[in-house]
Amino acid sequence: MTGITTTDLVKRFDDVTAVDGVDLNVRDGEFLVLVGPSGCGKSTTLRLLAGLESPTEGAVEIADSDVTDTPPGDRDVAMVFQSYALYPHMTARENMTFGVRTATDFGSGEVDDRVAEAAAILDIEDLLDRTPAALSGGEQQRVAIGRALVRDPEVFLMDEPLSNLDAKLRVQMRAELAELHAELQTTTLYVTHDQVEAMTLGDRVAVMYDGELQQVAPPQRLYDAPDTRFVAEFIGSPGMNTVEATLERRGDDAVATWGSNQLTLPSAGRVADRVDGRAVLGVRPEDLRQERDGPLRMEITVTEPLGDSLLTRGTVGGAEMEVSLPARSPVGVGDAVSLAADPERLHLFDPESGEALYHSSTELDATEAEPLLADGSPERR
Amino acid sequence: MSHETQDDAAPSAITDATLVPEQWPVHAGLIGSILLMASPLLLAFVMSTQTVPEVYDITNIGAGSDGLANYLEVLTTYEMASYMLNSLVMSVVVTVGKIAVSLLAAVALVFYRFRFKNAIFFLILFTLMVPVPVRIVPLYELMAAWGWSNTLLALTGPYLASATAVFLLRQHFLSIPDSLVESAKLDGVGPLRFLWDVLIPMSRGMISGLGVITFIYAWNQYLWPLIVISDQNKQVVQVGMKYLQSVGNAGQTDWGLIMAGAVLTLLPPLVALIAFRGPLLETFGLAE
Repeated sequence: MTGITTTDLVKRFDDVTAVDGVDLNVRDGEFLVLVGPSGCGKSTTLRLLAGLESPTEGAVEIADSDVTDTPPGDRDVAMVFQSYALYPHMTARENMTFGVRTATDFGSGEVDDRVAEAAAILDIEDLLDRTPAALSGGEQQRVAIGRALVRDPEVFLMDEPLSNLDAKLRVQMRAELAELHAELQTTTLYVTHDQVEAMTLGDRVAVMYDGELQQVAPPQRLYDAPDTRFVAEFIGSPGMNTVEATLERRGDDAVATWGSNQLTLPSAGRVADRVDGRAVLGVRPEDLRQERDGPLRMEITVTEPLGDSLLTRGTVGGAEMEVSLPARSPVGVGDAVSLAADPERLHLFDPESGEALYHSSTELDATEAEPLLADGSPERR
Repeated sequence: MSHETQDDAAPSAITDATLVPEQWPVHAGLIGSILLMASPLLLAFVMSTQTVPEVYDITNIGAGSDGLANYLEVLTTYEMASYMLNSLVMSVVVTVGKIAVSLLAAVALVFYRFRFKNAIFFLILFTLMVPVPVRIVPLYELMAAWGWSNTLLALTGPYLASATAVFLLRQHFLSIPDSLVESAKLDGVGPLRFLWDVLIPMSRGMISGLGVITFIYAWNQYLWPLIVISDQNKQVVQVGMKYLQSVGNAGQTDWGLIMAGAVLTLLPPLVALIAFRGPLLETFGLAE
């Protein structure tokens, strides 16, 4: 088992708490993506795992052994940096072999074989004798990944490795990274601020905010049943609309009201009893549609044609909302449109703690234990 | 194809090199100022080829009749060759030693965490205010106490620590991205191997620039060698020049010999300057 486990990991810099009690469990062979906005502590967490920072409190285990006080060189992890961290005076080949001899006990013949193998996988065989200055950004990133491959470590740590690439190359490298992981099955922790990258690459995605883990779940579950208001607003492009509303029980159901807008939440009656009349309603832009007599009324302020859809921003009962309309919808700035929401895809969050109270989808329930874990182990949150 | 390219390139090259008549005064002015600045050197070179009477004939500024005989005499009879060798040994030891010490100090200051790091760095900078001449008396006592007087150790030791070199290397190391250091840490690359395989190759320009400055500085030292070295055969070239002053007949100083010595003394720093002018400019560019 070469998983990573952190227990109550805390890192404080003077009076700033960058990482605040993180319990993370990366399983053997898993590709786990740690995602969050800038300054949420995700990079610090990665650096704590690498040993480049030492934790204020808590412990780090890699491959079932406690490495909290082990120097980075003895942890058998390889890291890929956002800035590539290639030595400018060495050729690609020298860059790939430089750390190997100290980090591993490969003989020089074996090192050569491994470089050739990694170069073949990454398609950089022709570039091995060039220095980084003679390589493009994407090629440099391949060499940096190749350097990690040659090491054959227990764990790959990747710190925003695609952030410096242009959009098209990023998509291509993303697919290649996914292929690479499918082939090698090396335990990987990948840090990014880009939620699209997180969703596409991760077996599971850990969302971090303000030094704390918000939710760790497979990408689809993260999207369908966010545990907190933050996750709801962060995941998705654009994120979920949230609005404070009054909540009233009506039979088994509940009705959320803000301004002159009303939405019925099926089977939310019991939730309405619990929350004292107020809750945060969440609905994704994709789950709203234009409907002649729909219960919501939106004043359009901005339209953004995305080609496959028309992203429309406006106010609904005084709250900013976004809705994804079909492409070429005949609406313009200043228009008022009526909207309806998919009753199967509504969410409620606690207005104070931001915790999820309710997901209307019948397959999901916020209070239910994670049903999607293969090994049935309880999810750390 | 290549023929055409040459045809295309040639006219513009000629145009660039052609003197535009309006610019002649500018060129004349430039040539004049260069001659003015170089005149002491040119004069020294002319005098080094003259006999004593020719030197004292002020109006005679043509090449002298001694030719290169003064040079031969200075090198052999007056042992300039051995002074130059002593100077060379001193300069090389000081250059290598100073850079080695400064590299290690800069590595410690940049890549290690220890208490009072900034205070130590400022303490090093403060030594800039106490140049070698100020330290001469206590240094001499120290050398005498250690029994180092009149040895290469005394000649080079006081020059090995240099705040300027530490400062320049520290600033250069600070510009090296942290991720390179961290990558090496993750690979378990030790500090000395990192210094040798990464830092030094990445600082090649800075180190050669520093080397040239240090070499010229050491080569030009006069006061300290004069005081601490008592054997004439261990003396360095700048002091050796002084010995030439006492040579000559009937109170007439043999300026021809002295100038030959001076020109010879100039040559090694000049060669170093020309050979390493690229990195030297880089060093000053970064030092600005």
